[in-house]
Amino acid sequence: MHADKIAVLFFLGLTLLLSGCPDSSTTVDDQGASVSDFDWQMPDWVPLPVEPAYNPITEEKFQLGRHLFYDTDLSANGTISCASCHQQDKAFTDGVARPAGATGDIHPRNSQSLANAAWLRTLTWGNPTLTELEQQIVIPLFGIDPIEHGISEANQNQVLARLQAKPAYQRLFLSAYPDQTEPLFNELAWRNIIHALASFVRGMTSFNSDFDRYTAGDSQALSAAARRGMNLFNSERLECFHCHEGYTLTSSVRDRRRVPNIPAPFNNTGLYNIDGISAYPAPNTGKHELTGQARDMGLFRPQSLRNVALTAPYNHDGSVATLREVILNYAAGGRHLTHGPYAGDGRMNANKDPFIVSFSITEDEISDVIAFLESLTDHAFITHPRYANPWQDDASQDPIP
Amino acid sequence: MNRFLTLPLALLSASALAHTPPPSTAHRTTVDASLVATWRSASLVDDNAYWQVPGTMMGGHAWPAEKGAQVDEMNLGLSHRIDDDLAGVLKLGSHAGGMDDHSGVELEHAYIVYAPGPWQLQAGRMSAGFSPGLAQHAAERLASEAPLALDVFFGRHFHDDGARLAWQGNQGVSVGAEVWRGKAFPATDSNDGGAWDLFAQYQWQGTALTFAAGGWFYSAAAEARADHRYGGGHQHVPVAPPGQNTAAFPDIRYTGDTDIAGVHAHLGYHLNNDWQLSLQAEWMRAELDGTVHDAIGRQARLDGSQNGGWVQPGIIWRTHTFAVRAERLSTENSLVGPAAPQLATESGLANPDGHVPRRVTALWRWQWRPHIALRAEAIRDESLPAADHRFNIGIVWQQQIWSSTDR
Amino acid sequence: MMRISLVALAAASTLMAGCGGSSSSSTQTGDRDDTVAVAIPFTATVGTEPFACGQLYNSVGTTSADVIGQDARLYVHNVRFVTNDEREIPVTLSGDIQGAATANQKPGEGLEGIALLDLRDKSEGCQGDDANPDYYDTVTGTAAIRNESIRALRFSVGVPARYNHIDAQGTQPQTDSETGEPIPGTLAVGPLAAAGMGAGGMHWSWAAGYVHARLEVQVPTGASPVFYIHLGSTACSGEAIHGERTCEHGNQPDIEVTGFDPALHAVNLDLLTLLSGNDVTINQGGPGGCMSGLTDADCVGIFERLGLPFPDADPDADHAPVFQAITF
Repeated sequence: MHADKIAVLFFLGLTLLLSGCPDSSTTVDDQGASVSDFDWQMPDWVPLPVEPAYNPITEEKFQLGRHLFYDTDLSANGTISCASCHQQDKAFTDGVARPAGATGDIHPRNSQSLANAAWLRTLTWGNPTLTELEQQIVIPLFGIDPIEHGISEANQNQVLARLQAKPAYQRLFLSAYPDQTEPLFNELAWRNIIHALASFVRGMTSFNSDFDRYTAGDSQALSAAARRGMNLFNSERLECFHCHEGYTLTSSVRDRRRVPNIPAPFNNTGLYNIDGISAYPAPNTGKHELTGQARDMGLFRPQSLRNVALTAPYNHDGSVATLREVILNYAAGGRHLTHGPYAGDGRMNANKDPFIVSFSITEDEISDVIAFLESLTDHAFITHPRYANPWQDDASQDPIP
Repeated sequence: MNRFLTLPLALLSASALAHTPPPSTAHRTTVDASLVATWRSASLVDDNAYWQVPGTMMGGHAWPAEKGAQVDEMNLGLSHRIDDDLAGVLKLGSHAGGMDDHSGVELEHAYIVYAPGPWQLQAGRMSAGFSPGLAQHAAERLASEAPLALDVFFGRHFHDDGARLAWQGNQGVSVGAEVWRGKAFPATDSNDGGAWDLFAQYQWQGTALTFAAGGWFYSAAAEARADHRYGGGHQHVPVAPPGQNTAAFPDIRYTGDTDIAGVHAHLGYHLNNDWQLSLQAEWMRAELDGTVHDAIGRQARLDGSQNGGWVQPGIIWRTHTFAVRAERLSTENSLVGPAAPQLATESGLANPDGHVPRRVTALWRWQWRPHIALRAEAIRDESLPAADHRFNIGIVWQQQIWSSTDR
Repeated sequence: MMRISLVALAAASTLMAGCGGSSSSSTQTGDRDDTVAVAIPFTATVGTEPFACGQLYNSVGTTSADVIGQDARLYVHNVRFVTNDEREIPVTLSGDIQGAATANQKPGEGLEGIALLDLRDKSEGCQGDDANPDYYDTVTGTAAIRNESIRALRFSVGVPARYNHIDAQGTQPQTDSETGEPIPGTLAVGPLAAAGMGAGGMHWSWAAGYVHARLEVQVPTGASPVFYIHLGSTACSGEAIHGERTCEHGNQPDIEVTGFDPALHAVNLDLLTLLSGNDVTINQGGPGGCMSGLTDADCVGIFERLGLPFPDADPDADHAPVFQAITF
């Protein structure tokens, strides 16, 4: 019967398949996501940050940006620089609730740390629109509500002339923009300034805390209290880790390994509930300020907790003085203000994030959580000469390698 | 009429479309039970570790072999003939599985069969009929452990909500098609998920020789499919006993198509009343075309071709069966995207040493009593780069425990 | 005077365009016989007095306050004439000699043709010695109106939604969020681009949009030293860099200037009318004046007069027109 032959052929075929089948291989192509010529000063396991194609970071732009960052001539009246509100010893914050601009305008919001700003999904406290440092830097320089550096079209040529008069900038601009003949004098001068400042801020990396050493395997890097605090931080009782997660300790994160359109998180933590209608004090209404949507009232971006022990006071308006008070607000499930113009029970805010539920916590446990938060301080970052004021002794340390 | 009644039984035997002869007595209602318990000498992976065959994305119920005695599966089936060509089937099943909360009793089958003439229409929750290997349970297989290819490509067990239309001709040819909601790995039951398949089989029986062979094609669509063995829902850091470490399972998802084509054959030869020879084999090739991604916005395009299968020669002497099952799996994957290296590692698709998973099982099965079989196995398991050896001793109980006579 | 000569030139060309018979071939730029060059001058006044930077004006707003001119700029687009029989004839804005965008005008018609008008007169002097170097107040282009009877001019104030959220620094086009491919036409050019500060003060960086109109007066007795009117789109969401941003309130008012004769008229923006419902000496929330914020009560009167919706405002209220045809 011919079925015999079919069967024999069939098994022959199968045997051939078994013996002759291909070997295994998995090839990966990351499309250059892990390649950068820049010295990021960070461990290998951290994914590279997103850079806009029109402003790739270079050491020369970083160093030019560093000079501009610390230059008070980059303001209308020569009184402030970026470093006025972003001081290295405070992880590039300023220690005050709400800082003043060049002309005395009080900023409605608290100065933020610039550490690892390159990894943030959105760049400010409540604005979902600002995603590029190049866009954001325009605001403190040229903004009028509030006035920060106070530069306007009326005085921008005078401000530029002051920079053009400084000998140090001649070489710095030329090295940073070698394709341009007169990068400090041509029509791109302001763009060059902004791109250099963005490069300096993008290059501010902070991944060198005790916590990083602990996660890298040094079990002695954290004290017993900090380890207890870490477990509390990651517990379902405190729920901290849901918003303050990952290597930047915030869920507002992007990097080269992620798709560009990942969601930008904003949360209401129940700080206010003015008049019982869930309102936050204007103009600090958070995401709502831009979207006009009632559901966005009081929604702010989760902050990175790296260096958080250095960045008091806390919250978007600097209205909470200490980490202990921050933890107590969360323990209460929000903040109940019993008097004053902003009185209201934030615990009842309709927009409050579901993770902001009250929890019980002892004073010892609060101390443990604070010990953990203190372990997130990167002491090398706040003293590193790479991020320090280059004008103080420009002669002795050559900022251009 | 009687021919129809073989169908529920068939689901408890070799294949969903097996063609065992009809029982001499027509029963209206039957209850069947089976139990498989096995003692294994070693665990394939350590406690608090995950079984991930290099080069593959696993899921479903493909748990690793665990040391000690374990109930591999229990089944309790009820079939009830409603009419001459209409019946209902319910089956409860339980399978052993790694983590504590994954081994509950499940309603594996709940379906209606309508079988007019050569046609068979079946709808409800049921097992797949396209692959005889996939339809087999531990009680029906010679080996206690599911084939590696089925573990990797189908997550071991395939139960899904769906419908089957099959036709069986007089010349030993049967063909069919199935559509699935997509609850069974590698599909998902989301909006754009689901699966379907086609199959054909030819069966021939001579005086000494029996031969069956077939082919099938299965196509699944998945959306954000998780490895539900360890990941999927709300993720927690697993807790290990003091002094031991465990890592959180990376919850990597797959969105895309999985097309799998397979061929199978079974050859039996009756030497005399005491001796039989048997050769059984199934081979399948999976094409993966989709995106590997995770919750934090990392993505990589996956283009994968994976082959797997086994050959199982055996010799049967009276109630004793001696067989060897040789298995092989080869994977060829390409991941492209900024997060490709990390996602490859965390998904299990990475295969830095070009490992080719293999497994050889030598087994002896003794049908000790009509409903009780004993078996012993020796296994060299190279599903992971480090080869592992273990010995299994098991017992299989399979019986119709109750029936009502017709009318 | 520079300004007079410019206006005269504009007027002359307008006259030629409007009255020219079949003889003038130099003004005929289209291939159709009825296409002529047009120049539509814009002016700003406070009541009857021309707006000038640094100039003092009396009796402004509900409290008759003194104010000093500071800024008067606006974008316009979708410029078209309306005939007596209610047909709209678009004005195609012109570019430079190669047809490319100039500093003040993005060529095209409808939503594509965008002009930035700067109505400040710096001859009297505000702060800064050269804050308005590229003084420009005329929309130039072509329109098929040679044999038409024109009854009105229509235009929209501001930057159209499609261009409102592009990168004003002109460094990159918007990109598709799925494919990463650049979206054609979204690289800022002409009046939409300016190195550094982005459209030279006409960009609302904080909200990733343009300032459709920037009208400012100083109020020496005011609660805030400057009463700002910054018209911008609000209640927006979506990613600007991916061209996905949309705004609930575009705040690009569509204006009809009735009785407009292209041969005789300029379009005048009267700040006295615009401010007639406001007490400019107080600040009812937000920054001084109205920066379009939905909670800024100073916007109510201004939005009503521009015919724009605003919380608690009546956009259909009957007010004197802010933009009117005037002879010059």
